[in-house]
Amino acid sequence: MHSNLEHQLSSLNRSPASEPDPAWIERLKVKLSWMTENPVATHVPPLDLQPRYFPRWHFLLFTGSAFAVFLLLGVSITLAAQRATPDAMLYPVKLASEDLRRVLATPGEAKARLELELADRRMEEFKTLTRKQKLSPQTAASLETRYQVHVTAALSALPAVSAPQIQALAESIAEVTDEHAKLDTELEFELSQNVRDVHEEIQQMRQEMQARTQRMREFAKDSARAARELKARTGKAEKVRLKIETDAMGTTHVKLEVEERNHGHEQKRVDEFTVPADVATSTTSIIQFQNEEDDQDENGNEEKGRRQSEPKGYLKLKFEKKDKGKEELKGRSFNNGVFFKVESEASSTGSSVEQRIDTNIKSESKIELRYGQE
Amino acid sequence: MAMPNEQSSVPDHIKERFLAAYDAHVKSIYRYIYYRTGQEKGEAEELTQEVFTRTWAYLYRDERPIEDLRAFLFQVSRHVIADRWRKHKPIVPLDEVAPHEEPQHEPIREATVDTILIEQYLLKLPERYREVLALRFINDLTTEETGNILGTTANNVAVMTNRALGKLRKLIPQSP
Repeated sequence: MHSNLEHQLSSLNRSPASEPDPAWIERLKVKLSWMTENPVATHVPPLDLQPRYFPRWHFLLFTGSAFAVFLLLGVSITLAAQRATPDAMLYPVKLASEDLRRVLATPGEAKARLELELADRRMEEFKTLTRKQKLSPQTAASLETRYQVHVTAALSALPAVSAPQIQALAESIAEVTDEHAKLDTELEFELSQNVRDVHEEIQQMRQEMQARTQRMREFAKDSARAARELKARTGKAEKVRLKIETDAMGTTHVKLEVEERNHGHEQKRVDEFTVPADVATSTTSIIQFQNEEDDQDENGNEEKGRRQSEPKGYLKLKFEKKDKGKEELKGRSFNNGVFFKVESEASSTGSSVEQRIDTNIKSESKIELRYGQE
Repeated sequence: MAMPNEQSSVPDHIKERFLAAYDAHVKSIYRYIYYRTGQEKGEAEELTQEVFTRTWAYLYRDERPIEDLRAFLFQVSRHVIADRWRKHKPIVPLDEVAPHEEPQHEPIREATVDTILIEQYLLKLPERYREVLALRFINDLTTEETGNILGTTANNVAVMTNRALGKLRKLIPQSP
């Protein structure tokens, strides 16, 4: 069959299968003749005798435009979402974009300022919804938590901030949180006006909200105080003198002397603990920081007594005897929302080691070792 | 584009030319469409009618002179087929294509069997090859004429024809 393939193909024009029906040919001719006599009856799409194809650039143009439209849409939605309150449909978009910004923020000043901005947003949302009477207990709880997270994160970012900016930043945090602490009074007023003639359950709910508002105000107030304290301490070392002594029985005595500045006066406190010879590791909280300034200024003696039982911070040390006579001291100091890291290693078996740890809020602790026989 | 109103009439020589072209080429156009589409009689009839209707519309508007009306008819056929595919692309698996029924009064000869087989294997060819074979052999056009219709050179038509034939040969099983 291959040898005469061309001939066979040619024979297809005589194939009965491809032969049109003569009756149909006649019918079509009658139809077309009538059409030629009635030109306006002819309704056909305009002829396009150019080859129809979709070149690559058409495709690229189409996909490019579609992509641009989606991008524009995404950006518009995200921008529109920035003004959304928690009762709005776009609010999750707002939170997602904020979370992305938090992840991308560089540690230090930028991070602290971002967290402060977000804390401010939460506070504004809290106030807006309360005024519109659209704040549900769940939303309020969520806003409170988020507010606290942002403020704490802003304070915690401070130690990573370089020395020249830290003062201004601490002041900004203090100002913003101060403002938050003030404005809540207005909310309380509005709540109390509305509470009068409503159902008991709603009253109860509003009282809870009032309590929450109160807590948020207290938190803002504490944060402002912490920021101011951090600002005051910038660059001023808090001296910690540490003495480790191992006696003839193998018992280790750790003596810690802390010099704190309070009201411009230096205060010295001493704390001691011992690690028996048969104990390799000991962890203890040896210093608890108090905040006496506010107690005296605002609440008098009675309040002072209560406050003194609530430490504002602590220094927690872990003492560990290592092999080959080495002793390691690791610790974390938590004071006013900020952590300091303390770390030291010394060969001190049978002798005494004295260490001075300068804690400074803008950097990790510096440790100086001074060796000397007792 | 000036549309003639109801009162205007088309010159007689245009009508005559159109109807004469119909008589001369309706079978070629029908076959061309028949082999390029799924070898369905109904569809071929419908599309052939569309080709002549569109051609008449073009002649009637008299936008530009048409020198070779046959080539023009084939070009319109290509567009009509392309339009149909854009709307609904036919899927005709070879297994489902039944051999065409032959008239009972005609004895089935060897040549007829081969023709039926070739018709079926044509359906398996890629569209561009089926088109060039239909124009070159079934419609008996020269490479120049085919090139005119396809918008390419005669050389290119020759190359495509050879490739199409080669492909068709591979598809057709060798006789024992």
